[in-house]
Amino acid sequence: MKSFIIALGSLLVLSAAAGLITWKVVGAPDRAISCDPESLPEHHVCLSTIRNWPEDAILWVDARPRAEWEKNGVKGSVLVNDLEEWFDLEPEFMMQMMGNPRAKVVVYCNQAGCGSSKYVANQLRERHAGTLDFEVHVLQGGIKALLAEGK
Amino acid sequence: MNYFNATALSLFGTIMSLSAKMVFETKLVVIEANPDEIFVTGEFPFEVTGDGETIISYDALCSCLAGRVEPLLPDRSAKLNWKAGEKGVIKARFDTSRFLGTVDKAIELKLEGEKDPIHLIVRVNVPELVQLKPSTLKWDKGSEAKEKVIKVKINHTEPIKILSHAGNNEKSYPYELKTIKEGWEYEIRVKPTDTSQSGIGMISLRTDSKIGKFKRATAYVTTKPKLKMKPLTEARE
Repeated sequence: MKSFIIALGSLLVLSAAAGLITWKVVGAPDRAISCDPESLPEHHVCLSTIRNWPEDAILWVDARPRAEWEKNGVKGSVLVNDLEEWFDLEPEFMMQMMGNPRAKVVVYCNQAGCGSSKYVANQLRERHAGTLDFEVHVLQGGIKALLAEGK
Repeated sequence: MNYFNATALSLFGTIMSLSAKMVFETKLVVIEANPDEIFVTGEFPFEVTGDGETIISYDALCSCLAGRVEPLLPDRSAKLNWKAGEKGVIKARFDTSRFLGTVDKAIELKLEGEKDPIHLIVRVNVPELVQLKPSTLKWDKGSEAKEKVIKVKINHTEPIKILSHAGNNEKSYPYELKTIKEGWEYEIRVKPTDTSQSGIGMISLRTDSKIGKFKRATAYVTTKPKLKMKPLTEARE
């Protein structure tokens, strides 16, 4: 019994030491949201791909609840969600796009499966993308991908 | 020996929980909503196999959706522990009042011993009764200030009349609302006064629709320079 506890304790200490050394040598673990451009659903895009686009070509659209957008929305983003009246939110988006045209719109929401970014992206694409010449994408991983990048 | 037994029991328990399953007939329900239907319900029937299943949570990923597991227990609470062979249904009640077109919303179901949640998707097609085609008119800066037309079409069994309309930049974008067939078809004809400068405007319509989301419609007009940069195509389209 005693020898088992000693063995178990030794194992734990060695594991912790190995982890610490790895942390020091390799660095902190990569918490980025994994995203494979080859296996994305239609109209979805990886954050790494977006980072290759010129920043001034992008308008970020936050499809989350207003309080969350106000808390940590992307700088310069516009709120267009499916929680408030579409006709109240759409004008601000349109004023942004018409006043300062961008080639790309990237919509993000909270998580996979929330459905809001997909809905908002579809609406913007169907209503305005053709006339105003912009592409609409959904950020794979949503706000989590953006937050993980900042860590 | 005791440690061995404990490990073996734990392993056995894990294997047993993995063998339990909640088998759904479908994980995607498509609903064609009627224009005046505010609530629609998607049903996901299931059967429990193996040695039973325990529901940890069933959350709707939108305030527009409410999930419910049926049948309920005698005290009207949700039945979370299910035995092998039992059948039930997860109902997802969807509030369509803010949506137009196609919308997917999910119930996220977490089961004991399962790493990944199950997503039960309700896909609702909500018809657009007052349709503007296109909803945006654009002139290239410096181009000829030609008249362009937005067609307003009522996609309903009953007529919807336009009660009032207003433009927020009529000086640059004077327009005329022409009735083609009262309650069914209209045209908004816009001819900018000058396309040498960039500009934007909105034309708002108010209707007599009884359904809240169709009481308003908005058209947009703009004059802008052609984008210098071609849209990129790295993302899958």
